Amino acid sequence: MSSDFPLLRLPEKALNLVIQCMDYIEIVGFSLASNKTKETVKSLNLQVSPLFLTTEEIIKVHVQRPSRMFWNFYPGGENAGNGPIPVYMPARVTARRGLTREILEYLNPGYSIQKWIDTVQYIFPHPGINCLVFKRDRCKFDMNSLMETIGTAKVNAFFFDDRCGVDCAKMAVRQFPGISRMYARSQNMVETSLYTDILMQNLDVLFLGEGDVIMRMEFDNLLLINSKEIKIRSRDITDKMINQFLKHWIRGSNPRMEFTLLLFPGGRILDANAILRGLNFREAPLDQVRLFTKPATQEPVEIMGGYDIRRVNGSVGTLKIVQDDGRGAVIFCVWN
Amino acid sequence: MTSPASSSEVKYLIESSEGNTFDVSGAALRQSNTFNAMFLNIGADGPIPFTDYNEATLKKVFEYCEHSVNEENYSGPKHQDDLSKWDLNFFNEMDQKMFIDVINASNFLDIERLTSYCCERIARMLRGKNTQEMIKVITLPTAEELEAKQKVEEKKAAAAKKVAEKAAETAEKTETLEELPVQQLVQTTRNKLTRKYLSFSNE
Repeated sequence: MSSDFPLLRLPEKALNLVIQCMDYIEIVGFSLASNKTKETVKSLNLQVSPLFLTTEEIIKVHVQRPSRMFWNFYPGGENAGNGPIPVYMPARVTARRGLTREILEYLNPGYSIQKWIDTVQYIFPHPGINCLVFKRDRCKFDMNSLMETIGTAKVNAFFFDDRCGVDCAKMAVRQFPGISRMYARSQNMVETSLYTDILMQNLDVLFLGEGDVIMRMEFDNLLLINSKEIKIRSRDITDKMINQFLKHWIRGSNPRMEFTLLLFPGGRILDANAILRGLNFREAPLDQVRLFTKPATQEPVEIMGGYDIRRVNGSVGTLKIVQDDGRGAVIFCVWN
Repeated sequence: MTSPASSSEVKYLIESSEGNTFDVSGAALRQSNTFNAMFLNIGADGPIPFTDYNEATLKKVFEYCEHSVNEENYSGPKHQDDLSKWDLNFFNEMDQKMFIDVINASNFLDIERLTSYCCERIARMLRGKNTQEMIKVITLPTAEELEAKQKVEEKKAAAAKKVAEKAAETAEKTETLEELPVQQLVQTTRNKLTRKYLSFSNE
């Protein structure tokens, strides 16, 4: 009972049960077998999210839920080179689930990366590519070709990671307008003054820096940022800069900003007096807990106490200075 | 027609596609949701016609049901590695044709445990295979075959309708009892109560 099994002739309910017993890596492979298998899988309305497409030396796709799955698309020898090269027809594809060593291998599968992505988008009702990840200093792939590969799938976020360079990031922003989130954690992007045009984008989320990647930030560039939810990891933002930033905000700068988190690595002690100097504020009692919901990620934040500052247009923002085990952070949230 | 095999068990007659009949215990039959929906509460006058399936297939299916009568309530698919020796033997001794017939019959009778084990077994055949390898294992149907499959599905639906009509007919007979002469009514009610009593005492 190992070959010529008439699987698709089983009754619909039994066939659906068989598919539900398969893992998602196998389900994708199964759906590539024919139109009938693709439609059968689609009818089950299975869900995956989020989906990441990474451009590195090769193109990789990974999905985090319901379980982590990774697909690596390898080019043939004729596609080797520094690039930018068009997105290749994969000569070999590997699929791996979670952290297992078990790898499913496809040799010359005959499916383009676009077909792979289209199939995943089709069989799992997926809103788009959650994150397009760039890891090389220069993107190895021609951006137009990359756009064709992604096709109609909507890209929601950029992840500039590892050694992604400023030019690569700028080109990506130009090619994929309408991105709502951007996460920069590349060592080659610490100098934020090199990409002020990106800082000015009207994003929902802008995260600059993470872990060892600590951004250089000048005051003028801080004022340029026009995103709703901001996180910056930097040593350059002084107490005086924060004070000036708040004074500008009161007068109308950064009008879209709703939540900002400034992180100061390396044992920074924040001086509340310097930050609040010259500001008209009301100090909320420490036992007063207010719940703030971040505008884009919808994550809740508990604000205990803090300093309420009123803007000229009447809106109120709360500043919270956190000093914990030598690590300093400033949270500023604007109540709607 | 039901026939008490012992004081504590009700037996039902099942009719196969060959027209042969054989006994199945009520406890085994109750694992079939199709049976439960159609006959459990009203009983059946005469053999229950599962005439889309041959005797060997139906016997195989009910062999499984008889065996799992005392198992705990079904609570989702069990991993093949957790199957008992008896279960494994049950599956291993079937050839592919019989296996497919059993899935089809089990699916029609809506026996969740058996259908689910069969399907998990098929999924296992595809485990660790890429698309090309899967295509070698599964027979992809041609357009003609797909059309033929649709016709078979329609035929199956008609058969299910026939069974349902039979059940409805039986129910109708039960409802028109009051039209029977008093003596016959007493006898019929007594038979029915006896059958119900035997059925409950077996639960």
